Amino acid sequence: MTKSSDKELLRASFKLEYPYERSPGPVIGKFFDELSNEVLVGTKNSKGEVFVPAAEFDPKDSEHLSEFVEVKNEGVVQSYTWIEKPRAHHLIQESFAFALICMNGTNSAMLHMIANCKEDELEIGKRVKVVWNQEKTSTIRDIKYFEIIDD
Amino acid sequence: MKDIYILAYAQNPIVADAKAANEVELIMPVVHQVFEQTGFTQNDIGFTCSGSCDYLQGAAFAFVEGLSAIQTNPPIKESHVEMDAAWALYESILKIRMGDAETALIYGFGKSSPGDLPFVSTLQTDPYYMSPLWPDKISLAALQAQLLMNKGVLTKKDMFKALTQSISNAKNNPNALVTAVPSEDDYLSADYLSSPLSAFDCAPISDGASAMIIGTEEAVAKLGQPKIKISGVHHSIESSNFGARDLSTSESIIGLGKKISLKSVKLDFAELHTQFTYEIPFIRGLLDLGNLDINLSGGPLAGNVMMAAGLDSIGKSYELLKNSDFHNGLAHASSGPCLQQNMLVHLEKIND
Repeated sequence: MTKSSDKELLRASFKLEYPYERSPGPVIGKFFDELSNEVLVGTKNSKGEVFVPAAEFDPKDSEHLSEFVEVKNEGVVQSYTWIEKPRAHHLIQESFAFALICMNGTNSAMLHMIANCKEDELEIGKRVKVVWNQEKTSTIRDIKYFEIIDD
Repeated sequence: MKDIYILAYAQNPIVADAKAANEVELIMPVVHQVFEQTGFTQNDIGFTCSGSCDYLQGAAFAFVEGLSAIQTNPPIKESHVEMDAAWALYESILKIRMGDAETALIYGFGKSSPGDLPFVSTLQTDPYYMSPLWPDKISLAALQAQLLMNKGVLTKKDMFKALTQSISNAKNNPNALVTAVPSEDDYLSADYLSSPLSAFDCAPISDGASAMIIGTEEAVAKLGQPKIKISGVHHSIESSNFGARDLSTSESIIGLGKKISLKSVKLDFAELHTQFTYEIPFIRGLLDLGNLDINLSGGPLAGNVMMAAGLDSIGKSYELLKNSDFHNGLAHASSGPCLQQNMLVHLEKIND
């Protein structure tokens, strides 16, 4: 008997995706709507801590969050990873970084990308600012990437 | 509460590419092996539970096809988790504790070779804020590694040591995929995929399957083999809000160590579900493991079958206890980006 492991694998093209439409709801929806106006908002808990991107609930005690506050388009790099050679699905096809960015006045970080810089210019604690995408889609991609603020 | 023992465990040789081998062909050999080890047939199994991920196969309900590897007529009590099979084990433990079964068959399988695994894993991240940016599994791990290096928790040297120890240990596991230990020069000069991680720091893309049988004290007594007991098992998950987690530590792992009273156990070894080199010194520190031998089987860095590798940590710990003078082993399973979800299992050899 021939085993399947001896045969070549049949291949078919496949799009890697969740083929679902998603409704973002009142909190994430407002965050995205404001992004399309080039405004960053977060949600605030009863202790005064602010989450950007807007969180529907406090990850520590599950407090329901509905109070919105506007924050500046600047933040600080909490961690980063430099990608010298971007791979298949990456949105930026020149060297860039993924980073966790803590927006000024907030208590959580946002995952996004940093571009327009060299690897050795980047470090934890570096100040960065939003670069907006010209075409708005009311998604997280309305932020094109972040870039370093020159001191 | 009923005591639960591991009765048998089997692992397929881990391969980089199983080619056209289907689920049934991956699962059937390991299921037959655990039946041979125990003398059981499917009729002796009270509950059957599997762990797998349909996204690896790229086909919906691929796990149902896997059931063809076992006898399902007459009808059986069966379940599936879209998780590592370590969590299929956990469900089986609950089932036995509830009195619904005396024995359980657990299997996990994964074929990562057909797809682009680091990006398949992206689809398990937050669909609003994360996955549209396509952060791959390696880049997310790199964010944690970078932070830990920056805080002085670990260094590239620690990561190299973890790698060489793991790969050297892989000689203990005839099923291991990677056995060639890289030189320090090769390691340190390798290009980063996502800084500070190079391909050496990442577990290899692997195909395979593993199976396990567990049972009550009555079930293990009949076998006349060393009694390996699941003396402690807990799991916990951290927030899905990635940016709100403190990646410089792990509340989940530290909390689990307390829950299974790790401090009161004199451990002989640990098998950790560590898919990146940095995770070994990181968890060693979090659980205060000192110089304890970690991943004597080689661990995931020597072969990492998605959806089975967590179960393998537990299975390899069982094999070590069964075949050595060791008495206490710690096994770990994980899931999600940057060790988001974890399980710790304390296995103990019980002398009559």
